[in-house]
Amino acid sequence: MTIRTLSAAAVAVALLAGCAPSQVDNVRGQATVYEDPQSTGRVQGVGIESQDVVAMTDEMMRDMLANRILAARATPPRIIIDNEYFRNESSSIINTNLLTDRLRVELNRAANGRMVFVGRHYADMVEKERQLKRDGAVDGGTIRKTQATAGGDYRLGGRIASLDAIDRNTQTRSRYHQVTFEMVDLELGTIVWSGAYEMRKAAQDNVLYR
Amino acid sequence: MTAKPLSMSDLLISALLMGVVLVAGCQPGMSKKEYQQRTEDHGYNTVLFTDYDLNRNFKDGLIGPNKVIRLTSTGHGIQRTDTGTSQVWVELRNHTDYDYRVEARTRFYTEGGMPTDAEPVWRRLTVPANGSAVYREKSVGTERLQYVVEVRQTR
Repeated sequence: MTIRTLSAAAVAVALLAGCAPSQVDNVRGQATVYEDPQSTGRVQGVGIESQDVVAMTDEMMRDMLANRILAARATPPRIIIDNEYFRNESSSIINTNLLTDRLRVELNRAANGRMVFVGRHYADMVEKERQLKRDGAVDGGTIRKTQATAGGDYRLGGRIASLDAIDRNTQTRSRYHQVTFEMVDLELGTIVWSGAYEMRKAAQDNVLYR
Repeated sequence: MTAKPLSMSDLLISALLMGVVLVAGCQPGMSKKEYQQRTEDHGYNTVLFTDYDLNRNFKDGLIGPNKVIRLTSTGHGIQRTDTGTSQVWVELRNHTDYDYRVEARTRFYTEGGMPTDAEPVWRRLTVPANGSAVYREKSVGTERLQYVVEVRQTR
């Protein structure tokens, strides 16, 4: 009797479960919102975030413009800023172009002729056009002809390094970042300007950076 | 001349009026001091605590303190750099027993009062408990400038 009752109950449960509406979470999601890139957003972890990119590049830009060698020469120096020699050796995932591009763009706008920027990352584009002009496939343009493209006087180098720590009881992660920016004389090899940005963050949230 | 005894309705009306007066007096409106601090013309070459939890003159609620001085500016100024740009400095003093992580930014103005220079960016600094820290910011332009420094708690 007991076995029969149990079997009947099990069949009933199975049938009811089969008829139950499937549980799909399709409630209205969070609407997309714009956030201020200068401030911490809703998603925050221990990595390098937009507010850090903005703050560090802004600080370096202002500091370079206060350097006599870079910003007070009678003939504006030619400067190369790209991520060719800017290494990420930290445990944070970051596209280093975010730093070098913002620094170059902001510096170029602010320098207003006090520095000249060489677009070395566009070198192949320039070479192709020069070749077309030299081959006679296109005319010479309206600006001028030069023997060669511009050589750089100074080039940006740098490194992102980090030190991680984790509290195994609370799962709190802490990460110290040290980002160094250096301007190197491309003839002598001397470093004519240096800047560093340090920060340490701690968080329990499991944030994924991509 | 005997006073006419108050009727029940007179008493009720009086009580209602008294209640209205009392409730109106307790309304959580903006006090004169708060309005003054929130709307005053700060002028140039000043340090503003945009976060009133750090520094304020007005009372916060019925039982709140009259004045808050967690952080104050003990000095500030502007000077020229080697390349002709300007550098603003502000010394902040922490009056509490806790380290304060704050953000500051500087907006530069021409002598005529027009906002100029690169867009201001919040810069973080820590003011140690009962200690002081110096915030510095450089301009990108070489003209003579005025400044307004804003300070708030780190977000």
